[in-house]
Amino acid sequence: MSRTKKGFNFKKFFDPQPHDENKANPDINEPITRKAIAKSLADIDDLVMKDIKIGEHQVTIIYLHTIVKKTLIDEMVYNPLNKSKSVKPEDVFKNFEVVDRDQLPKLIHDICSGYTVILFEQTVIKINTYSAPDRAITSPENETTVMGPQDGFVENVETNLSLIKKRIRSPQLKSKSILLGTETKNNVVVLYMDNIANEENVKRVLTRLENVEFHGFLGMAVLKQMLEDKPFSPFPQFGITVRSDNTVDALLNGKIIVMMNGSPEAAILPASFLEMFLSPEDYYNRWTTATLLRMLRLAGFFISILLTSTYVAVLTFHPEMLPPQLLRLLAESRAKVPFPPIMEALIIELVIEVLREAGARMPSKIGQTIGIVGGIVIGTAAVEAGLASNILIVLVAVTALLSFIPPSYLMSNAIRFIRYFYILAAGILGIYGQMIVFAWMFNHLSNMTSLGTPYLTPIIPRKWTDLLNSVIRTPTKFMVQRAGISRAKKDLIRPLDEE
Amino acid sequence: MKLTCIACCFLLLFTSSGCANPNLEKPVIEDLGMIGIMGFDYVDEENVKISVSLPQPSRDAEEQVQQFSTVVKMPHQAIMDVSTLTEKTLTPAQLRVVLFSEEYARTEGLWKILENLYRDPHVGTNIYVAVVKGTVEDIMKGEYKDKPEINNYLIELLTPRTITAFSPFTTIHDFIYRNTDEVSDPSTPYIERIEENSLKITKVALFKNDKMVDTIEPEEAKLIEAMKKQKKLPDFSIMLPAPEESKHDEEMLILRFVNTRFHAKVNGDLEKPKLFIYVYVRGSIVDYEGETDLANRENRMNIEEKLEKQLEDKVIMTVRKFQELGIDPVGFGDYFRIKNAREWSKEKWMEAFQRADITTHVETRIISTGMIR
Amino acid sequence: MDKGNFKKLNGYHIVFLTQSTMLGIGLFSLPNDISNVGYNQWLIPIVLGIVANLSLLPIISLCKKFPSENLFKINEKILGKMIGKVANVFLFLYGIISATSVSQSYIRLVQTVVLPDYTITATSISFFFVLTCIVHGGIKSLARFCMFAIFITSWLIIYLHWAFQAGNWLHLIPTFEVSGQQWFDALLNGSVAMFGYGLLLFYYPYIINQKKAFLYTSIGIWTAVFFYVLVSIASVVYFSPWQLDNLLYPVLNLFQAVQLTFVERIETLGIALWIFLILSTSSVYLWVAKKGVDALLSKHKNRTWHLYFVSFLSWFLFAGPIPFRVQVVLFDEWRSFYGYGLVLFPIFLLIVLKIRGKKKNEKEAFTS
Repeated sequence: MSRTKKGFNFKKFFDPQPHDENKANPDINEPITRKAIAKSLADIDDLVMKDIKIGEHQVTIIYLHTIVKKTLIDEMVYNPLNKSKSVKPEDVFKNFEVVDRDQLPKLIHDICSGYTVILFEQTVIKINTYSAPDRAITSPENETTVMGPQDGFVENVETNLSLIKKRIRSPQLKSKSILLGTETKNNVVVLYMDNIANEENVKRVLTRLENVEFHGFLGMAVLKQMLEDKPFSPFPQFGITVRSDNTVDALLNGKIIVMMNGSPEAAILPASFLEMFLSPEDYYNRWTTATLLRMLRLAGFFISILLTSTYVAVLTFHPEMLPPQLLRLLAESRAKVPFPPIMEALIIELVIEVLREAGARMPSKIGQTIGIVGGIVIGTAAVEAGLASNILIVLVAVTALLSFIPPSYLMSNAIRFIRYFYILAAGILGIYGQMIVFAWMFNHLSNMTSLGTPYLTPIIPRKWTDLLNSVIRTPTKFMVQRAGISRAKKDLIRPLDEE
Repeated sequence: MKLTCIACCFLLLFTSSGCANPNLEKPVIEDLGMIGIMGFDYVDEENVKISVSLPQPSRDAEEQVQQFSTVVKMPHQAIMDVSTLTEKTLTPAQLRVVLFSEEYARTEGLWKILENLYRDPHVGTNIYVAVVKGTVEDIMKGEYKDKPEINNYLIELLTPRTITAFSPFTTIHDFIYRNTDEVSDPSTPYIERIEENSLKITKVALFKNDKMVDTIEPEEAKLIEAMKKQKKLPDFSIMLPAPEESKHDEEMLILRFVNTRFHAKVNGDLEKPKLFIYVYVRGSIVDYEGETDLANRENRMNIEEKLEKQLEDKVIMTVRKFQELGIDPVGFGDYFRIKNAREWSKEKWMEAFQRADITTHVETRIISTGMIR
Repeated sequence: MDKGNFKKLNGYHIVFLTQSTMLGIGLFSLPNDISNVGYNQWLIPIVLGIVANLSLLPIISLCKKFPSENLFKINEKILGKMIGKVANVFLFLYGIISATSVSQSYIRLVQTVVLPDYTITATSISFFFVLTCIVHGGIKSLARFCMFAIFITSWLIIYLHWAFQAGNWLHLIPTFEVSGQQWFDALLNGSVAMFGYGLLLFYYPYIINQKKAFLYTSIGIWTAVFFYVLVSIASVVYFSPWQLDNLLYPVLNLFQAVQLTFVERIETLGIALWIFLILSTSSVYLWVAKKGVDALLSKHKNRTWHLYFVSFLSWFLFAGPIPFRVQVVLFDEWRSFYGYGLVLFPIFLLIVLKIRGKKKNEKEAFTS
């Protein structure tokens, strides 16, 4: 991808530092010995290095006790060792891997990711004993639905894979894993249906993943941003979800899922603008309700970005557009306000943002104070004091509510952000300014791609049949073709040969 | 590179637009004096007395409207003049009603004023035009007990409703359109102040070109409206000659129009113009004074016949009146224009219209007589 | 800009490109432009549509001869390096003057109606910023933008309902009272609104299914004509002859007829939304101008700074210190002249090609 070449040239400001190759500790270049391991893992206080005598022979057991449960290591390592007389690993253990003597860095990495290494005199073996405590599977809190499966992903990628493989029992479901993060060496898994997903897309995702260079990822959302086509855009270009049903649906439509150990989110590649407004619940509902809700969400997007700015534009530049009743209402409520409309709107919008942010950061026990402070003090008192017009408060509240409609949290945040462009433009150039930004936004959106596919499908059509499952969700009987955005290898959902 | 480019653009935008002169704040909605009504009174040939009224939005204001009048030549001159009197910036953006005194409408004509208002992009074209009896200033300054403030009151009064549908509800566009369409003449509602406390659309003012020439009564005006355009008309009261056995001479009947249809047939010859007007009326009887049994089919036919006769007389009478005045508020001329487009002019048509041979036929259908016999 | 595989315009792209290049500022003043013929004016767009469709034939036949070259290259091939370059200079000027003329009249309109307290600096800078962004994406992005422009603005046609309802339908009966000279004048004045389909000469090489280009362009022309006819019908029924003659932007007055309960004076919104159509029109022209600079300066190689150059030049032409007289000559008189020029140019080129072909044949016959 030429993406990495573009953009800012940091070399001008920083001297390049030597590249860490995919090794845990590149300094050590010796064969595996007890001493070498001890040196590599010096100053790690949870390191356990136990020498056991079996007969005449000495066996060393090495693991990190914080990520290996005591019961597990007893059961898997100590008990077999204690019982056996032999020092041949294949006599003692049933489930182990032999390590080459010269692969020290890899071994060190394995120890750090929960393996137990046992040094026999001749051979070195490792046993996967990773058993760090994990969160239990709970229902997803950020993407709730009333109907449908309620199991959300957790931080352990294997649990998440199990949730998916529970639903797709097919050998076509491929999962490739890559280690990413120059420091963290985190396990990143790419999932796709081999018979459906577009090969070019898969290749593209894998190359992009290989090109990523970063010290570590806080979560999937960070990695996702590095895979996107247009990193400068305010709009999210890939979907992100913690719902297992969402993920399965994406896989079946030929999309590619990227998951990361340590992050409960799964990225869906590619995703379109419209898909940010779709919820899996649309498929659980009747098609009529689903269509209504989808229209509501999309209309909500436009109203949310345009409502407050229209208030600013009309009050500042186009009072002739108001019908007499509305004019009287607005002029009355504005009569005592000391700020020009744009300032007023910006202040109230910012107050709402602050409320949101405070509500999100505040411990849930004192969260209800926010409601009281926000609702009563800012809402009622500000109007009564004449600091803001009550109509604006209504508009801003509606806007804030509407911006929560999209099921995608990232899209909801994008709306939050671009709204300020509209307000500023409306304050400078009125409705004309709004439309300038609107035109710019449409041009931007239509130029955007998600994994090489137009972001605005199905408005920019890949396939005309996409329209059947867009703003209008037709009954499932009509959905014969897969979504065009993923350019699926297998086009038809049903074989249709017997129909 | 790109980012700096965008940053420069925004910087330019802000410097070039927002902060041209920081001392001059752009007036926003509460600083604007929105003129709701503009009135024009005759002073002399040059000058006109313009009264404006601005609604006061504030709840605490003692008076709900501010009113000013000034003697000037042109409408926008008045805005300039009055702006210096108030704390607000006057704008005609919310102008809704334009009133003319009868004297002004008869002597000066409306064209000069309306053309200039039409020119201003800030003034809409859906502004109602009306002629008032007496001076506009009196009407505007008057106190109307139990009525909303004058702006609202006049707007509501002049907004089309079925009950006042006899009036043409002329807007600036309509007036200019009628005045310049080469076939017809404008007409506007005529407002009078009655019993000190209310305003009423009593008549319809007729114009010849842009000058007012006469008024007609609502009953006749209803027929004109029926001929102009198909629309819902108010109830129509009519006196029918009573049957012989009745004790009254005449019986009153109130007809509620359900719909009307109209078309004209012309011979298209400007030398010997012939005009046949056909009106079709469907309606139901809501009030009936006489004693005839309305449920009887024959009786009903009888009444229909009488109604037709009455309405035909009225139509003929009204059109005669237009012929005498030399005006054509309905726009019969259009039918002639189509056939004589080449050498068409309004003068020619007026001349022809005045000696046109008018015939008419009104067809009435009573579709219901209510719930009792 | 214009990266990736060369052929990228689908059929519907052509339709939208054609129609939104045609629909632009012309629609605002069309009923006034063709008011010479009075109430018969709604026939004019139909006649113009037929003329446009006929004049498409030589354009298409020229394009078919050079399926993978735009007009700049065709010029150089047919007319030779030197004359070709001269012709290209004129084509470049056509692109830039049309783009400027369209945006200039729109921005002046915005200034008079929507933002009367402003000079044109702020509005024009923001306009050209977005314009440059659009052209930057290349022809396909342009085509996409044209699609949005049509979708976002075409619903405004609903508002003609008020005019239809209030108007007098008797005006619609054609009376043919005006003289042939007036018909001709009206056709001439109205044709400014039709220019734009000729730009097919420039984007033809990008079309995937070139065999159907004629069909798609015709569909585009006739959809544009459909809008023109609707608007002129609305104007004819709603206005008097005096109003048609004297109103500069009759469409604004058609908007003013609209009465909604929650918003009045819909024309403000109408003009603001119109920016989509204006942007789509002038961006196509600007794209042509940019291609012209490419042809003149860098041997058809794509350079991004050419785009910045043309958009600055275009902005400077009307916002810079250029006397108003010159601007009128440039934008009003030259533009229509150029428009006809572009339509007739392919015929000239075809003739040259024929003559040269003949000469070649004779030569070959002579040598053998």
